[in-house]
Amino acid sequence: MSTVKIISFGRLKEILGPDFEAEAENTDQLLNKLNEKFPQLKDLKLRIAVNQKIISENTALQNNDVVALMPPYSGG
Amino acid sequence: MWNTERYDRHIKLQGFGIEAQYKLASAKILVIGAGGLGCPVLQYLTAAGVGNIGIVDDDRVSLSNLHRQILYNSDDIGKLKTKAAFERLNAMNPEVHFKIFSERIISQNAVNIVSEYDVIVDCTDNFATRYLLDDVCRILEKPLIFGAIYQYEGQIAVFNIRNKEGFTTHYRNLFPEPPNPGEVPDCNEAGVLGVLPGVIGTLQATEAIKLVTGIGEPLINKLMTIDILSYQTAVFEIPSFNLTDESIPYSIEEFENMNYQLHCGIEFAGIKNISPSEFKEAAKLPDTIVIDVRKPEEQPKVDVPYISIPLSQLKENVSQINNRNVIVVCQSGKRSLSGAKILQEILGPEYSISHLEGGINHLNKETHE
Repeated sequence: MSTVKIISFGRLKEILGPDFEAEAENTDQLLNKLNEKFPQLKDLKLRIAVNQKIISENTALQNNDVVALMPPYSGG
Repeated sequence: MWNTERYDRHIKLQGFGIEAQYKLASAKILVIGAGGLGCPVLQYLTAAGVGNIGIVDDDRVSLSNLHRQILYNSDDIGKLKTKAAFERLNAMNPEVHFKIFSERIISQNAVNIVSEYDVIVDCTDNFATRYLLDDVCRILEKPLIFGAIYQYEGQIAVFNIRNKEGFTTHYRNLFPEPPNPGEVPDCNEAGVLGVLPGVIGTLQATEAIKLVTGIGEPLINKLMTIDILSYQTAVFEIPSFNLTDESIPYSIEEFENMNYQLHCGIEFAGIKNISPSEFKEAAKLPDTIVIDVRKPEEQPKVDVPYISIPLSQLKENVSQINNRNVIVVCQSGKRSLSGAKILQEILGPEYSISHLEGGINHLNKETHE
């Protein structure tokens, strides 16, 4: 298990609250844990970045990694 | 020939100079959306002396625009944004050639409009147009400067330009599929701090100037996020991968046949969209009921007979509906579509379910004419 910092943006911040720490081996596991804890997350389109790199597939996590969760914005 | 005194501080600027100013003067930039983001983009590109600027918007100025859409003043309410913007910008810098398109950009006109320009700036306010622009710019290989806002936060990125390694990205690399309707509130629903589009739009204009003149490092294949409450900013790398989704277009022909309303779930099979101009007539048809799914306190009310059932209570109150033609309305057209889907599921195909496109917001704009 690695301890990582979660930061979130936009509406996700309203659901997840301020930055916090979580434990997970990889991003899929992390997302499953978050979905369990925050059921409103489930149907939302979001993108995950690990240490400022947006990822396209399950990614292993190391201690102190920063995981960002980003929703799309439509406003203009 | 333009007046060099106007651009003196650019010309004196180390790393910029007369060469970069010439590049601006021969540039053709298209700004799609003349709202919160579009106003500062247009203002700075005009002041900077971009030679040709295209402005696309079909909307009219309304009072609730004025706290952030700084090209317009109170006298402009009801005017087309393209025309009001042109008047201001032309007075600001008459050396710029403007072309205005007072129409909504759709898959049938986008290729023609976009083809004329070197750089496209996405200042739109809805996902259907954002995905449409991303697709047309990808197919035509036009640099796309993306900006989007939410309450106190913004996103900026530059798409469709190859980096040193030869990789390129699109909005679909960032968010492959549109969110469900209603999933992401827009400025109408969630509100927005008036200065936020000023900040984000100014950065989009900066990226446009950097791309045209070749200075600095534009946000190619990168997404910048800014939170103006905390000044937390971050730059994320966007992954470059080949798009394989078969439901998206890869050629001009496929693009022109694409229905972005359907793609973004704004249109729904079996549910009719009623335009503001059709609404009053449609409401008068026999065996027709109008249902307002907003909360009872929301204003203004529609001036046709209606019943009020808030969206959250719609399922339990379907028995109140005894007419075959049902028109669902709300403020912006989002909740009404959700309501129409609920009714379609419960009432079945014997009922004709429609909803007011753009909501009561649009209805009132049209009737002000």
